[in-house]
Amino acid sequence: MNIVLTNWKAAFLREKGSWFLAAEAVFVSVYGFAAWIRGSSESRVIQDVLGGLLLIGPVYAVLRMQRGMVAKPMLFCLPRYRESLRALTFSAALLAGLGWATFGPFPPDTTSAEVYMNLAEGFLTGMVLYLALTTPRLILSRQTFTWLRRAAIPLSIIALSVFPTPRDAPFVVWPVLMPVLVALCAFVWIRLGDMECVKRGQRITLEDTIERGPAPGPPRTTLPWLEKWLQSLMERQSYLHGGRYVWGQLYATIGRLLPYWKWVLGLLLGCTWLLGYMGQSAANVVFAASGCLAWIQRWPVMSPLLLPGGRKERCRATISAVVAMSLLLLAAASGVVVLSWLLTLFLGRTPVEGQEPYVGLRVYGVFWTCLLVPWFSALGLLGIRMRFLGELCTIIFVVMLVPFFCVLAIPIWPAWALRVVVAGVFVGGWLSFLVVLRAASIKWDLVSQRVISEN
Amino acid sequence: MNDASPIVEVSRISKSFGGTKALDEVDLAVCPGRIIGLLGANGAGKSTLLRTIIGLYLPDSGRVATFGTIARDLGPRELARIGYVHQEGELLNWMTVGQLIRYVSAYYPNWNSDLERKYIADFDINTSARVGSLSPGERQKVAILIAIGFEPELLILDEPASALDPIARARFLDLLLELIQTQNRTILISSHILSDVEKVIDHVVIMDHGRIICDRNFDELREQYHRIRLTALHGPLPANLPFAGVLQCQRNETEAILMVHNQTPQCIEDQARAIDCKAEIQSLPLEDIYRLIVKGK
Repeated sequence: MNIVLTNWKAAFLREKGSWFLAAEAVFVSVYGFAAWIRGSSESRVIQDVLGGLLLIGPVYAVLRMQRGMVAKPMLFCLPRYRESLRALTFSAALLAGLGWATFGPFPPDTTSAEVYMNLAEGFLTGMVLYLALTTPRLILSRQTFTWLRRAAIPLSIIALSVFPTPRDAPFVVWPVLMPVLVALCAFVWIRLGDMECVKRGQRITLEDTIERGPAPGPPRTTLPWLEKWLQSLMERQSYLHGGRYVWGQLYATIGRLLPYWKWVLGLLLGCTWLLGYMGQSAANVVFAASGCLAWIQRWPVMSPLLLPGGRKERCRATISAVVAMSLLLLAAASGVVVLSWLLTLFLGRTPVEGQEPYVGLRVYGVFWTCLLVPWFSALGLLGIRMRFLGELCTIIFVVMLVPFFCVLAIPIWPAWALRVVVAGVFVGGWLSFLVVLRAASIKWDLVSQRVISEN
Repeated sequence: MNDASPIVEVSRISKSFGGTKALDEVDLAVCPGRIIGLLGANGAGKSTLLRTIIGLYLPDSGRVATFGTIARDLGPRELARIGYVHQEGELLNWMTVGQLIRYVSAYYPNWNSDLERKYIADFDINTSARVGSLSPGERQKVAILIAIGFEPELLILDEPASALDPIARARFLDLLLELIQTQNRTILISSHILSDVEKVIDHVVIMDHGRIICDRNFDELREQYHRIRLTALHGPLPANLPFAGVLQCQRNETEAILMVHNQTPQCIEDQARAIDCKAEIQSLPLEDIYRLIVKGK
């Protein structure tokens, strides 16, 4: 038995969707690279953003796999465990390096020689970043790890501010930076091979987990007035009236976001800062991609909680929840746009690229948010019923998005044609969603079943 | 027992998941006021049947009607009369227990706040804890509360006590016994803990491989199965014992323990006297009856 391959296989089987997305990210990168060679910098930006977003799933899957592997003390008893943990970590780091090299920020008019230098630097940077995220707890003492964790944010800001590209400082990068990156990788390689070091790291992890106690659950909401208002909307309807069920489900759907409002606000601020530098095309992609949140949502039609709402009420509640999600995303995107215009008053050149100024986003982009919500809602529902087919359809859909956005970005279309296309996507999305929802409401089982073994 | 028209009518339903047949031409009628114990091994089809009754599953064939309405068409009026607890039931993890209770109670016009308060006190439920942070046993207590708080006419309990500690389980049984005092309340309870179930039920339904193999009044069932401790009064036991309907027999020279079926106590005593033996007759616990029925199907 090869421990590394077995763990990769288990990770693939458990997170099949993530790996399909990774395969799709490869496709996106190839497509984007081809577009970039043809000289379309807009396509390169779209490819970077979309590909980066697609990689979130597989990165999460790899981190989970590694964490799971390290958390099992019995693995130390297996033969060749020493080599397998290191092999697993570095095989994931190699993939991370490839990902960073592929999606890393390249200036649009880079020469061929600079491309290779960027690729090499990006590859090593990706590896070091992955190792920095996943291995410090295992290979460092508790004191060093604690210090590093506290210093992570200031160090990152400094690194981003002074991190030179080969173009800006070629004589710094090759003689100094590259050996440093290689040395860091070698350091981690050696430390991961030291079993006493790894065992100590694992013991510290377990001790910290025990001290923390059981997971506290989602943070307590600090917006009780909003919760009360949502509940009051529900209680205004008559008992046993379908409307009460619909409003109740809306409260349950939106309410789960309330404990995380600070995170959402931070995310919006971060997006505003980044998107102003990356341009309108990237903003359109991010706004549209936010619709994929609908893919992971548990809609009221599939709620396992038995309440006084039949299949018809569940259907209506789901439509309301999807509309509400679209409006919420629209509001969030609008906030980003408004904030971006405020930030243009204060922000200048980006410390990373140093090329493009910060530009406020355009209003029309916010409508991308609600364009894809019904599509992803339909795909998400389909995935609950038929997991493989749902994931396959999602991948095909996302693959089609890349050329769709790239083609739309070409400045040859008259305004009326764009409006027709966008209207078609919008109507098509809602029709698809309603068809799938109708099937779910009338014909499907409303809860997933366990696989029952008769033996 | 109330002999009014059934509140649940299951007629030749079948249900498959992929290649696995979970329900195979099942017929069942649940009359109001009954306390039915639904028993069976893992994978027998109990949960599937219960979920089909409340419309969460749709049968591949056959007909299910609850409160006179086809299960697929169950609406707020019917569902407001049904309480459902499942051991793996999902709750809203982001809410506190108190929030969840208020949220669920808002759906029911007849939510009993006194019962809610009493239950919270008896089961020591922390209403300010997040549902997502509760242990499996605590989650099950909350799930039971939100299922019984509105005093449903039909209460469906699918392994309700499996995660409860022995003290909580005893309290839950006491609560069930209180609930069944109400006339015309119907309870369908599926559980592996048969020693608990037999304290409350009056009707037994046993499932095996997707089929119902026994659907009997519990008292009548108990009268059909007996354990006999047979002791020879003089000398050894005869080689052939004259009892009919013997399902199991363990014996030595002077004593035998038999499980018999369809024999009245009078008949057993007469037969024992005839072979110069003393017979001690005991009713079997539900667990033994269940084993005998499943083994002998």
